[in-house]
Amino acid sequence: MKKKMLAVAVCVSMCMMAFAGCTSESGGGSDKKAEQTEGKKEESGKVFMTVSNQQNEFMVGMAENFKEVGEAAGYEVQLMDADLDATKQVSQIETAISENAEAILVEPCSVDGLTTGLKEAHDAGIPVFVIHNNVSATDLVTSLIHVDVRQGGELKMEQVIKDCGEDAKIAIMTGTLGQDTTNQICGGYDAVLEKYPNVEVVFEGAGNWGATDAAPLAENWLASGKEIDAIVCNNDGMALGVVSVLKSAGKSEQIKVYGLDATNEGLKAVDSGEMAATIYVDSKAEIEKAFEMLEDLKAGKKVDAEYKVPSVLVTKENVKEYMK
Amino acid sequence: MKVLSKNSVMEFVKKTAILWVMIILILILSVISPSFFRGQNLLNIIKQASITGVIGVGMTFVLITGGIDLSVGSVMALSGTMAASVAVAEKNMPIALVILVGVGLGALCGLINGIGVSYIGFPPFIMTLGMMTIARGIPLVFTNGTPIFGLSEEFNMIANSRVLGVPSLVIFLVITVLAGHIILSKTVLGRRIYAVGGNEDAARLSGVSTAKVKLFVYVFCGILSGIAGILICSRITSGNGTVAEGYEMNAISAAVIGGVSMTGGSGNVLGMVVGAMILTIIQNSFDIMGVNSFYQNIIKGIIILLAVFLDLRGKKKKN
Repeated sequence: MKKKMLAVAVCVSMCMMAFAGCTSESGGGSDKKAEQTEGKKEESGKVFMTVSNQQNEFMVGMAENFKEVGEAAGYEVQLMDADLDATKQVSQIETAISENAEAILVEPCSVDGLTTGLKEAHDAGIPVFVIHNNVSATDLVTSLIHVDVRQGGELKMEQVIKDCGEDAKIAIMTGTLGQDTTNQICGGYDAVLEKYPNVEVVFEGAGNWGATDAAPLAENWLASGKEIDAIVCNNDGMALGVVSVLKSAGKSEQIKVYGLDATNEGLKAVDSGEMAATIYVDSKAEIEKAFEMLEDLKAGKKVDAEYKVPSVLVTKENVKEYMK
Repeated sequence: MKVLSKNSVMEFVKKTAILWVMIILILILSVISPSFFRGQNLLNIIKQASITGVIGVGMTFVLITGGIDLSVGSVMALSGTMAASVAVAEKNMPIALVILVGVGLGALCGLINGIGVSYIGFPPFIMTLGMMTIARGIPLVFTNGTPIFGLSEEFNMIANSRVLGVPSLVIFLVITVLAGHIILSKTVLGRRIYAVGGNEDAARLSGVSTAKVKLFVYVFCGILSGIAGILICSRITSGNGTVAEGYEMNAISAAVIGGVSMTGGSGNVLGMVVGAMILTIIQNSFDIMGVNSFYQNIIKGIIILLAVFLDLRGKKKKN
């Protein structure tokens, strides 16, 4: 019984603390003071970034670049992961707004899904830089900064045809369908393929950016018994999944694999010949540009509504330049 | 008299244990991160918990009967995407029709689930697993995997407007929770739902049409999934067959944390709402504090186990 009473006492005191907490936070002069000092602290600047996911090396690398570049520029940085959920990403933008962010970097997981959050940031006067992918509500964001992956797709497909010939039989593994990056890269492919009508696209399927989905898809393609000269993947994460499938099927010699992003693992695979080529996508340059623009804005300068970082083809010949 | 009041206090604390867990969590977080406890942020949290809360009400009903509905997330995607595609099919499409399509599809899915469980005899897990897969596939086929956008202002306003300063999502949550709470605690139907989950045979023998009760909970859950589907598509201003992936698990987590028993017969809607709030608070505060999101999963898992552990212990003592 005593124990029970003690428990009740503890609970009651906690509850009183809760109410005490409420009242002291929600009103009174001391509260305002606290907010003011906080406001001052925030002037030194907190920059938020919400990324679509942290599921592959490239995205983890982008997050690291954000922290590194942001801190070097003298900001407090904070990363949020939307876990491929547009609703969550909208919430994260709202969180950043309520934290009086100096700027918000968004690597969107949906082209059309973030409008609500972007509008709120726009109304709050917080600069928003959309990194790497596109959004449709371009009028609500400060600038779109992305690597020209469409051009990367073109460069890569040119290389595929150079390697496998004008009558190559290829399989295309795309990122998540409907995402702008997927559409951009595949648009680059299509632009090249139009020029070579004899190239046959044997398969086209979504590997959703990761080895988890890419490996079974590649296995199914191999199981079909159809002849394939090259598997062209929208990113390195999927390409590496394909590489391991080819290895265990003993088909590494016959089928060439192409990636995109030039992640560390991807570069190693190009160096060892497991992958034929990848495209260097400089996420650090994207982030650097965003912070550069933020400085420009603070200095009262205007910034471009769009900035494209050029992409570079990486093959065995030049891979050493990009390896860390 | 004194003893009685002490007991009732004890009873009250026991009944509302999860609420105190939430309050303590809020207190701790307010100390760690002062910006957590700000009006706007707290409103954000309720708003962000709304969609989970709405489907959580339906899930609570199903769980109380001893069933489960795994199709909630997929039905949201189906209803929301189809409603969105109706909304853009013609200019000036009446919004009522759009909502009717979304809610109607949700109800239809729920009806099929209910018939499968009550009258054909599929285990709820299997029936709704099948529905989960089917309802995920249909919108993807229909839209060919590409999102629908260019939705009308009216459609986008559903989840993104404010009424007297209160976000509309919160209003949806409050209405749904009140309705759910009243049905469960104040009506004959509510008592029957508990009876079916507590002991189905006993309920049947005492004259309750258990099949009809179960049919009702699945249809109800389907309708709420339909509403939530429209809400989520309105919030992200586009229809997309891939939305709400895994949301059924959020709803189940919220219910379980809020004291709803997976074996049926006990739990209530208010506890579930607190569960949904706790999940959102973790997400929100970790975002604010910049904690790696991977930790969120670990913490969520621990909280679910802890909540059920407390629940189990409470029950043992009672017996």
